[in-house]
Amino acid sequence: MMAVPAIDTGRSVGDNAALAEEQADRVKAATAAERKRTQRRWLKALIRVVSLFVVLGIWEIGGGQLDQSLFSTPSKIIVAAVGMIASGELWQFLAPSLLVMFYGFSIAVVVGIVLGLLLARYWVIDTATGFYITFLYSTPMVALIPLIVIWAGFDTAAKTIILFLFAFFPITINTYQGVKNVSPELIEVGRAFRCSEAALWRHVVLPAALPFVVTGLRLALGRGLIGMVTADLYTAISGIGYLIVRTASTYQMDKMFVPIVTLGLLGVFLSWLLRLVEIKVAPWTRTDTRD
Amino acid sequence: MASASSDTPAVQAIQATKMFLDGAVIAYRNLNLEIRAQEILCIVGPSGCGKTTLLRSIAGLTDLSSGQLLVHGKPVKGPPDGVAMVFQHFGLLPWKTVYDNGAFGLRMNGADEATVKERVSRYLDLVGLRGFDKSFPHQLSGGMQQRVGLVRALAMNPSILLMDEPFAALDAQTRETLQEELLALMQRPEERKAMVFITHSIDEALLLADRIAIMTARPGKIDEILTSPFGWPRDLDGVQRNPQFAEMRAYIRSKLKAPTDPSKFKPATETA
Repeated sequence: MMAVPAIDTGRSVGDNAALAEEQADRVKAATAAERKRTQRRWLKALIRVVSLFVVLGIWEIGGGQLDQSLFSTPSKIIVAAVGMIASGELWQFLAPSLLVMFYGFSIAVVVGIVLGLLLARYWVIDTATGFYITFLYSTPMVALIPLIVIWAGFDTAAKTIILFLFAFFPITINTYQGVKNVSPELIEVGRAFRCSEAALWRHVVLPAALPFVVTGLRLALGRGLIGMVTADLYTAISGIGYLIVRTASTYQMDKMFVPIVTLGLLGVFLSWLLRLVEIKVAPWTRTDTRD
Repeated sequence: MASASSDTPAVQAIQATKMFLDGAVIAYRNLNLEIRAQEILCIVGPSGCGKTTLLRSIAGLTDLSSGQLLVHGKPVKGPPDGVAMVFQHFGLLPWKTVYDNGAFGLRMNGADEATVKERVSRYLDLVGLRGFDKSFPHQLSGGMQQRVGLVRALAMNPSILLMDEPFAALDAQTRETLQEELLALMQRPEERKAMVFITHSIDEALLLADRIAIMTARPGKIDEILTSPFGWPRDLDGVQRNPQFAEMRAYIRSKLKAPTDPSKFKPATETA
């Protein structure tokens, strides 16, 4: 006879039917829970779609009543967007801005991380320069734009400097904080196993600081986008910010909303991209998907 | 390792003193202790008696204020050769897999990858973590995490194993399982080494120790060293059934409770 394990439940050997029933109940519970989750997901999606329709509907109907030289409607904006994309107008103004974003952000990432690490590692550098960084971080960068325009002109170079200044500080400060916040316990583990200093940085300090650095990058991205548009608005000869100025000053409201929406989408897209990078380089920070 | 012959003590503390905050806090003072090669010495004591500081001194993680501390007959200056430590907080690197965490100590000490693979796999098998090589620490239970901590230390084949309340953060069942596993491991002749095991659990000390050092606080010093009456091989059930277990347990308890400092403001009625 087959032995049915019934150690701690006190079931007799003949209880196979009860076991099967229990298993069936378990499956039922799991299916019900899964169904509930799926329903909730669909419901959320539905609510969002309805919300979008309601808001756009109110805008469409309400906006149509207003003076069209001061306001526009979603349908007109979509038509304008299709036109501007097809004619290449949007890209013509977006491309220089993206280039500035790319240059400024890349330089800010490199300089920001390196300087953050140096400040955290060498107390002399920290003492000698730390207070400049605090001062500059507290200064609204917009205040420096006229000066930069005088020094570097209106073109890509000036805008890159402006964007760099907007994006650089959060990266430096977060990198610094990340290194300073490495758990002393983990440092001690490294020391106990006789890590060299280089090995300690590579295996303990840098990975531990990485989530802070990524947070710095995310902050920098937000500030960088502000810097990008601000630079366009002030210098106003090219870029997506200039497109807003130009369409606004000629009261082309439908066309003006196209770069604004584009900027919103760009911000969402870049954040999402950064999140992907984070998951790739620091998978251990993904506690939310743990099962 | 063969170099640690049985007549050189593994660790020797001579009038060792450690103070913090410019002498405002004394961790331990004029402490004398000898730990023999291949013995398991448990240090029991109340919290704050300086037992963890003593272990950190042996690990070379903190300097003495005065006195002498020798490991394998040589004064400690930084983490010494042949010493590995297991931490109460496990101390695993969250960004490394189980395998890479286990390999960490060996790699940091310049072992070649063939040796790393052979030794880490061997100990992962021994502690029952086969198949978890590629898992990350956060995917493991506390008991399994500390098994990785154990693998990391054992893989280095240390002649002295320092255990800083390694099972204190685990639940009671897991703790007993790990105690028994550790004991079974130490039973193997090829795995015997000097082990300094810090704990505040008297039961744990009685089970594991060849000798038990009772440490008292303010200032921390070794009050008494007891030799275990439970020979090898031993296990949890055998030790706890032995009549001497209850007797020694009561004795150590009374020792640890004895007032060492009359100025300690505790209500006089509190005895429990």
